[in-house]
Amino acid sequence: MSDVFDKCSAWKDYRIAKATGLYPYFRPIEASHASTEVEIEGRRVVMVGSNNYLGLAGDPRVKEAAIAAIKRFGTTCSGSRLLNGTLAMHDELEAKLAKFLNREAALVVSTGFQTNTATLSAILGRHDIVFSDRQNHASLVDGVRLSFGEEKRYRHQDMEHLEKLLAAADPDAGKIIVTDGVFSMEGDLCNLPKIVELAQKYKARVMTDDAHSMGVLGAHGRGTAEYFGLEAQTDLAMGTFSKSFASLGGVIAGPFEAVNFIKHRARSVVFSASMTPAAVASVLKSLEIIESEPQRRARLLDIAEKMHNAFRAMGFDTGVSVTPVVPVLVGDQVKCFRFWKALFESGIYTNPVIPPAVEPGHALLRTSYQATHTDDQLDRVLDAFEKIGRKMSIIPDTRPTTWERVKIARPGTYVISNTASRRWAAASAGLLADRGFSLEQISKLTPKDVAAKLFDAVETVTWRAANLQPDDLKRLSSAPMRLWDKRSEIPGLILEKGANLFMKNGKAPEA
Amino acid sequence: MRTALRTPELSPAPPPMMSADVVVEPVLRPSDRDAFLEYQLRLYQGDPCYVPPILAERRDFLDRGKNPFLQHAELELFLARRAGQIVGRIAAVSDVQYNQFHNTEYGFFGMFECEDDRATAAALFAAASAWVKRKGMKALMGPVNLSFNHDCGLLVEGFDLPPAMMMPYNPRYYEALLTGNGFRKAKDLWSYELSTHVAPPEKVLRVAERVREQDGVRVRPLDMKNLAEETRRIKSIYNAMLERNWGFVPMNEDEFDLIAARLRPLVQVRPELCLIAEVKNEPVAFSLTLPDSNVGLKAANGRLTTWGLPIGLAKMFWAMRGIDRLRVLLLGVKPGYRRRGIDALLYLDTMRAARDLGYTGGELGWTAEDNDLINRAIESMGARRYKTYRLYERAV
Repeated sequence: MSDVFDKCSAWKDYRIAKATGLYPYFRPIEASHASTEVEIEGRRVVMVGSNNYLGLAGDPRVKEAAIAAIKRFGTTCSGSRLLNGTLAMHDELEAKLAKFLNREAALVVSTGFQTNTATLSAILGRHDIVFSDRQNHASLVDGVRLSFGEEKRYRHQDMEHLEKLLAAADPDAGKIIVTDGVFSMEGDLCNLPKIVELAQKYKARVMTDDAHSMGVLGAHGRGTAEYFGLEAQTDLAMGTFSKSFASLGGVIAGPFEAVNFIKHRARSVVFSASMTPAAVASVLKSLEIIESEPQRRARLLDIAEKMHNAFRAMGFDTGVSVTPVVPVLVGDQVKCFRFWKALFESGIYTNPVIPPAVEPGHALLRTSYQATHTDDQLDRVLDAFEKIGRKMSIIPDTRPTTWERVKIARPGTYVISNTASRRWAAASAGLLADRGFSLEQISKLTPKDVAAKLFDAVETVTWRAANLQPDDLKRLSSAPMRLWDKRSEIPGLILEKGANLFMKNGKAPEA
Repeated sequence: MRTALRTPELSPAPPPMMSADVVVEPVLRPSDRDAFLEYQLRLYQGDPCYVPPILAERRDFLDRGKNPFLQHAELELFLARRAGQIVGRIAAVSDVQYNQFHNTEYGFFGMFECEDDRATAAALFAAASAWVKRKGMKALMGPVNLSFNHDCGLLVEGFDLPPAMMMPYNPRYYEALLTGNGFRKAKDLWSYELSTHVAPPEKVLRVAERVREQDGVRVRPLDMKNLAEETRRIKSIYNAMLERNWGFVPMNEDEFDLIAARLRPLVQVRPELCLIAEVKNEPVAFSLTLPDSNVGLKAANGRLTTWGLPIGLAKMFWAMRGIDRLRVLLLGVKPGYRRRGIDALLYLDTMRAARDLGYTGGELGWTAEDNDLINRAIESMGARRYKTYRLYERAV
């Protein structure tokens, strides 16, 4: 007989990560200094893992507005928007957002995640087809799951694949293409011009999730659609308040009829408590600042360009990103945890991203920046990355002689992504997942396979030895010295290899 | 003068005759790369002439970090599979240096191996064509494994004898696979067979001895105590002498060093056969003749070790003791010293040394079919043309 809790006790990853001291998640922040630096475990670290892009979360004006709202309305609305949970502020915010986003109507929902589930579950009927990018955010995936619509997923950024799916779909069915505006982990933009073109060709609607682009992209900060100049051609724009808007919640904006339908029919709106007064007030104040202080956006993109280029100059791979989301490719997830930990210990807070958020073998450290970061803070981040990256052999000991400068999604540039390196492209497609062995795999190996592997290794060593040149011998003799220099890395490496035996790149044993 | 780009005027590829069940995919994983390399062992099973390469060497050869050629050239490998079973392979190469040097827009294919099926070959060529087209190339040439500084050409004549070291070998039906898929001949490369027991013609002897005396040419074997110095000397002649030859691409330092490192053990076996000709202490020509190590490679059968024991290595050394054939890998004269008979002098001295050491003969080549100067010189020595390798091209 099986117990529903069986999988919980069989799940080893947490225990391994915890036992090895590498567990990086759910770290409590004890204090915040203007949100660019925080205190965790009594250590003051530079925060480059927050989505507070414009730095408004620590802005005194926003804080003041939130406090005033609490004084006026209390701490919560204690109910759904449908019934007792709508304040005048909610309506005011929706009107202002609709105006800001150039849309007929807007609806605010308690969280960004719920905004997507609400929208998709409400508008997708039984005969509708939704076309979604494979790397879309989990909330979009869940929204589709909650609906009765049929889902067709196209390969990330693969417009030919999208067209193939659109062409193959029933011409009479209702269609919508749903995509992240900025992909949250890799930082590239959706190919909106092509998506819009295809949508018009095949009579489909378009929805963009502008969680990471609202407030950041476009001349006025209205997100991906404004950046591409395609606002009239995208039907629904979704945004969150937990990033540039320094609050919590989400917005869906579009034609009045659609938004009104979602407002009344989406279960995550009707059966959920509304945004708290403090949250609404912070968004209102942030919106005002976003409209009046465009220099924050410019500074943010300057920082993004500086960081991308600096990382690339050191030999890091920041992939396809054209935004202030600056991912640094590590590859192996345990190595990623180790890198994260070493950076944390030297005062830098980043986010380790491992499967299933990315493909196995594509673990990366996701850094993101705030317009309020000082140059000094950024230089500290770069120094730590270079020092530790070299020590952990993530980058070479000397800087590469050539590297490609990054393209940044500034207004008017219309860039979509940077060229991916071969390794990035392969990792992103999940092709680097099968490196090494997990305990599962080893247990499946026959003694013959083990012997074959062993003999192959001997073969390679013999070949190398047969080809040693005088210079190689010189290098070999200095190997003990180099090993001694990196001796502090050895326990970590053993840990990495050992931990990987149990949890290979996040592939759960039962999966 | 290099003015307009020499774009080959070729007929476009015929409409691909694809078979629906063959899937051609780029190699992305290490396991696929191993399968790519091991495919040929299966394909040539039972062929008495085939000489398997050391697979560990091939792995390094395809490794960007270990092969300096791949640092300036781009490479993509493709595997053709039918029902999961590998039935063919091809490599597509984009070598910017070649195209800059010759002012052309050629992409190359190489490491081509395929079952006897035109449709499978068509699918492989289509994949390579599409890839080089994306790189902006106008035509596809090959087989070149992976540049003219490595081995190249498709064997079309002379299947009866095993290949000499660093020369390609392939089944007979490949010619039909290429011509049947719209490829046409770009150039023939010739290899000659020369026996040490054939006495060189009187006239050649006379010319050679006159050059030695009148021009004060001194021919000496490599100085093994000063190998690094000698390598540098050869490098300087090499890049000067082959420049005008068809297919030649200058090697950069790293590429030259790698090839020198690979050949060094063979040079060390018989340094007497590697000659440098000097005029007033200035090196003006050299010839590089090596014992044909394919005998050893064949004995090793692709691996240096078996069950972790150096059995292949031992077999290889054992087989190498009985080598009686040579390959004259390179012979070149600096511009300005050509047409004087220095090449004949080098051949003669090499032949004498080879006969004294007990070698029966060997292969000279390759040479391009239209390199009349060198071909005439070789033929005048009494050598017999015995193998033809062909390069093919087609528009993409």
